This record gives sequence, structure tokens and C-alpha cells, in this order.
Amino acid sequence: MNLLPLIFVLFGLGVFCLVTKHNLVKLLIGLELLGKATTLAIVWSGVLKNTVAYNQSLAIVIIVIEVMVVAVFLGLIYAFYQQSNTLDTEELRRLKG
Amino acid sequence: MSSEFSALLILLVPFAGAALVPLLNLLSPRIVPAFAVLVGLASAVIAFFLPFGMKPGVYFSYEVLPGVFKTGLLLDTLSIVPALIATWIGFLVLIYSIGYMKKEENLSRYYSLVLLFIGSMVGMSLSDNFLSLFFFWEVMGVCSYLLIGFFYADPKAAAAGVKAFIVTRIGDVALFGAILILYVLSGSFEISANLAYASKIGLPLLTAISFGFIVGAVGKSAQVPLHVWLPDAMEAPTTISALIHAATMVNAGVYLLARVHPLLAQVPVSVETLQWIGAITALLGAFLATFNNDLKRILAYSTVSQLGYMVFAIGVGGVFASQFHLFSHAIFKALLFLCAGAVIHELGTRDVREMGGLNKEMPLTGMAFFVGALALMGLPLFNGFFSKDMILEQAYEHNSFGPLSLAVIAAVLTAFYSLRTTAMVFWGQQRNTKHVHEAPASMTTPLVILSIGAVFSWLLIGRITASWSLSGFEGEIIGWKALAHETFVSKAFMMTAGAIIAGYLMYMKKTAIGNFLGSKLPVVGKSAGIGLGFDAVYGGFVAFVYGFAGFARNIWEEYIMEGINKVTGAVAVLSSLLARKMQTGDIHWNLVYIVITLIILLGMVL
Repeated sequence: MNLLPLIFVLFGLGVFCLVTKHNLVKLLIGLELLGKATTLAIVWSGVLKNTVAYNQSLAIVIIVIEVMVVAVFLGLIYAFYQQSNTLDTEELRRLKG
Repeated sequence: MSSEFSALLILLVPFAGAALVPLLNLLSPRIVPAFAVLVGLASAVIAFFLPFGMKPGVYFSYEVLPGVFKTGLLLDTLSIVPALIATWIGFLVLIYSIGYMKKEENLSRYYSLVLLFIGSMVGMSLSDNFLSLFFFWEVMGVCSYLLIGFFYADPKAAAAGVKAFIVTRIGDVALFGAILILYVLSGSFEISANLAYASKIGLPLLTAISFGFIVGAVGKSAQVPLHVWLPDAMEAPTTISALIHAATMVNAGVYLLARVHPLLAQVPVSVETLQWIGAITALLGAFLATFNNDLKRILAYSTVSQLGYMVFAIGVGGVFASQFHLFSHAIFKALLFLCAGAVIHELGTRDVREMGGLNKEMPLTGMAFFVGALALMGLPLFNGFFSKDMILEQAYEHNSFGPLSLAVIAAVLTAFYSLRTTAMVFWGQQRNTKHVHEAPASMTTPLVILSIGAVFSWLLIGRITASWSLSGFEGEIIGWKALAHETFVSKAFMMTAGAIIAGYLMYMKKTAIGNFLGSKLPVVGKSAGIGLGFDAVYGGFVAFVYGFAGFARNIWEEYIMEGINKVTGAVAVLSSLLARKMQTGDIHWNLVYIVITLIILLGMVL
């Protein structure tokens, strides 16, 4: 079994999602896809290098961190929605220089 | 009480007293003067025990920084004489202050600073290394600044304090430079080690060091051209003038020169310089005193002149003569100042033209002043006569006739202005309508003691010379009879006596001379009246420095620094104009950049 194609597909989907979607929730889903691809890559590298236990513990750390990322991201989305009544990222363009 | 123990005590007692005065003032301001006098008496009594059983050497040596700096108390005759003078004159001044300063405010500050002043003078003279000597030297500078400006509400007094501080600072910088050069060369701050090391230093460097010491002493002891602070210091309370002129401040420079004389003697040019500085100062001081009408300024210029004699004596190798004159001068100058203080206290003016005929109302003060004036002009059998004669004798033996002639002319003028001042203040008719009284007992007691000292202090010569040779200095032990005999048969006696007679004749013809100068050479009196323009030159120099500094500051601030600010601002604006294009504000484009960067980095790694 080779997980490398799956990892690349997941990563590509995540990037595609982040680049094309304009809905903040969809962006969050894209970000999660990226994160899952990374987690899988770390576990798979453990299989390849024969250090499964070590990489599994790393994967658990990543999952915990992702939980926090999701929580903060959702909080930001909620605050943004309250401010502008929309989830469209076009509204965030005020930061343009 | 052994001399070592009293040396330790005498360093502690004045400082402890100075620290306790403000605390006592919280309890009761009325006991402060009495306490200060007690501390003064204690230090004077302790100082009295210093010479007894004295074995010259360093005591209580303590390593502050191991291997770098250790400090101790140096006891020999050279160091004990200034300590004795400082404590005894200081004690008499403190007694006198009870009456003189009775009505003033802030007495705790006054007494605390006086004690600190005395203590630092003692500390300076007993220091065995240049670093603590310099420390106490600076403490004295601060004390003089604070005490000259004691009446700080008066702008003239405040300015005089600042002037004294700044002018003496010039000398202090030079002195510190000399000390540092010596330390770099010899690796030690110790005075004796450095003096022994001096013969190994090359002549150019040794010249620089000796000139550092000379400039330091010139600043502190008010020699030409840095004498300008001393007459202005007359804004201080008269007691402080007496203290500065007789006991502490100005003696420090002469003491320093005497202490480093073995080093100075190795540099012919510095010895020559000392002779000329001393002689010119003696003449200039006497000349300016002749033409002044402010009683305290006359005395100040006479101090300048007498200090010139001392420096001149060191220049011709008469270290003992200079210290002997220092001793005599301390007594009669303190006497003169305290008498002047009593007169000014009663009359409320310092102008001698408004005085006169005070002998009737103030006989004791008048007598004391006359004694002091006779000692100042060097009339035989007064202490000033013997020490001044010794200086002239030394100069004669040293064959330095150029400076010697100046010093003799200065002696003529000294005799003249001493007589003139005494006559203006105490003799003749009263020229004002004020009703004056004799000063209170607390003020006249020191006058009586000092008058006795001014007549008889030279009898101590035997004791001083004995301990002098014990301390390992050159010179034979002479008793007072031998001194009197030697003085009267010496060649210098002719000069001293001639100077006094010439001065007396000048005094007799003073109206004629005054008319001649007034009609033919008015420039003499005018230029002397403004102190020969030293102040104007220095003031002009300072104004020039201020002006130039303001101009330079303007250029630097308004053009150079402001220009740099403008250029950096413009660069920041320009670069931000360029860089803002990169901020699209579009999260998707940012992500595209991130992915592209990721691919590039991956490509570099793989």
C-alpha cells in the first residue's frame, strides 16, 4: 500500500479549495484538508522510516493543535459575520495597500 | 593618645560632626552652633596630639581594591602642618561664627559644610595616595562652591560660587590628568611610590605631569592666571572667606606643590615656571590690592599675593620656607579677615572709603587688625617677617634675581596697602554717621588668640624644624634665637626692611602719588579697578565659546540632524509606495504566493 498519492490528492484539494472558494467556512474546510494531508504525511513517513510510535505521537500533537486552530478560526468567522453580515472574503479586501 | 590614633580620629570627627549637624537641627536649631564649636574643638585638640611621638610613615593602610588601590594615612610634618592649621583656624572661625552668623538663616547647612570643609582639608593633607587626595580635593571644591554661594538668594553670591567652582575645575582636570598619567606609568596611586618612580620617567612626559600638578595648584591656590575666582569669592560670609583664605582651600594647592616638589625639581622648566608664576602673582595681587576700595577684596588680593610668595618659594626650592609662610599667613590672614568681618558686621558696608576712625569705638578689633597688617607687611618680630624673609633669602641663594625683584616690589606694595587699609578703616576721622560698637566676646576672643599667634607663632620654628628633619626632609634644626639671628644678618633682611621703608615712604606721599596717577596716568587706576581685565578677557572667551557653541549647535541641529531626519523620512515614504503594491488584500492571492513559495522551497530541498 502506498499513501503518497492520497496525501498529494488531499493536499491539492485543500490548496484548490483555499485558492478558489470565497466562503470563509469553505476556506476552513480547505484548511482542514491541508491539515489532514499533513497529518497523514507524518504518519506515512513514520511507516517509511520505521518510527511509527514516534510519528503517531507527533500526529496526536498536530490533531490537538488543529482543534485550537479550528476553534480560533470559527471564532474569527463568527466575529466577522457579526460585523459584516456576510461570509464573503471579498469583504476582507479592506487590507489592500 | 598616640599620633596614629589621633590621625584616625581627626579624619572621622569632622565628618561625623558634619553628618550629625542636620540631625541635631531637627531636635533643636539652637544647639547646632554649640555642637559645631565642640566638634571643632575636638578636632583641634586631636590635631594637637598629632605631632606627639610621631614616627613618619603611613598608617591604617587598607586595600580598597586589592592590587590596584590602597589608601592610608600619611603622617609627616609636611602633612600635619596643614591639618593643624585647618583644625585650629577652623575652630576659631567656628567660635567667631556664633556671634557673626547669629541672625542668619539655614545655620545647620552652614555649620555642616564648615565641618565638612575642615575635615576634607585634613583628609587631603593626610592622604597617602593621589586618588584619595584628589577625592578630598574635590570635596573641598564642592564645599567652597556651596559656602561661597551660601547667600544663594543674592545672584552675585550664586555667580561667585559658580565661578569659583568652574575656575578651580580647570586646575582639577589638569591635576587628575597628571595623576592618571603617573598611574599608567607606575601602576600605583601611592604618593611616595610615584615620587620614587619619577626619576625613571622620560623628561617630556615628566614635564607634562609636573605641569598638570602646577595647573592644579594654580587653580586651587588662585595663582595668575586663574586667580579670578578668589576676589569674587568675597560674596561669601566673612567667616567663610577667612576659612578659605587661611585654613583650607587655597592652602591645598601650596601643600600639593610642596608634596610633589621632588618630582617638580627634576624638571627645570617647571621650577622656572613656578618661580615666575609665584612672583608675578605676588606682584599682581599686591598691585590690585593697592588700588581696591573693597575691604574684603583688598584682603583677597593680598591672599593672592601671599600665595604667590609661597609658590615662588617652592619654585626656588624653599619647600620649608613656603610651608613656614603658609603657617604664618594662615594666622595673620585669618586675623585680618575676622577683624574685617567684625567691621563689616557693624557698618554694613565693605567700602573702605565709608569707614575710618573706628579705633575709638572698636579698639580691640583695631589693635588686632593693626597686628595682622604688620604681620602681613612683614615688620620685624611679627611672624610674617620671618617667613617672608626666609623666602627672599632662599630666592637670593638660588640666584633667581628676576622673580626676586618682582617679589621685592610686591613687598613694597604690600607694606603700602597694609598701611593704607588700616589707616582708611581705623585711623583718622569717622566718615559715616553710623553708631558702632565693639564686637561681642565670641567674636573678639578669636581675634585676641590670633593676634597673639601673629606675634609669637614664629617661636615654634625650633619644634617645626626638628620634626621636619625627623620626617626626612632636608634642612637643619634651628631654634628661634638662631632664626632671629640668621634673619637679621641675612642679605634678604635688607630687602625686607627696604621694602617696608619704601612702602612707608610711599604711604607718606600717597596723596602726591595718587594725584600724579590720577592726572597723568588715569589708566593705571582704572585698569586696576577692573582687576586688569582678566575677568573681561575670560568673560569674552566664555561668551565666544557660548556663541560658537550656539552657532555649531544651530548648524548641527537645524541642518545636519534635521537633514538626516528628512532624508530617512523620504526614503521610508518612497519604499512604502513601492511595497504597497504587494499588499493585494486578497486572501486567495496570498495563498497562491504561499503555494508558489512552497514549491520553490521544495524544489531547492529536493
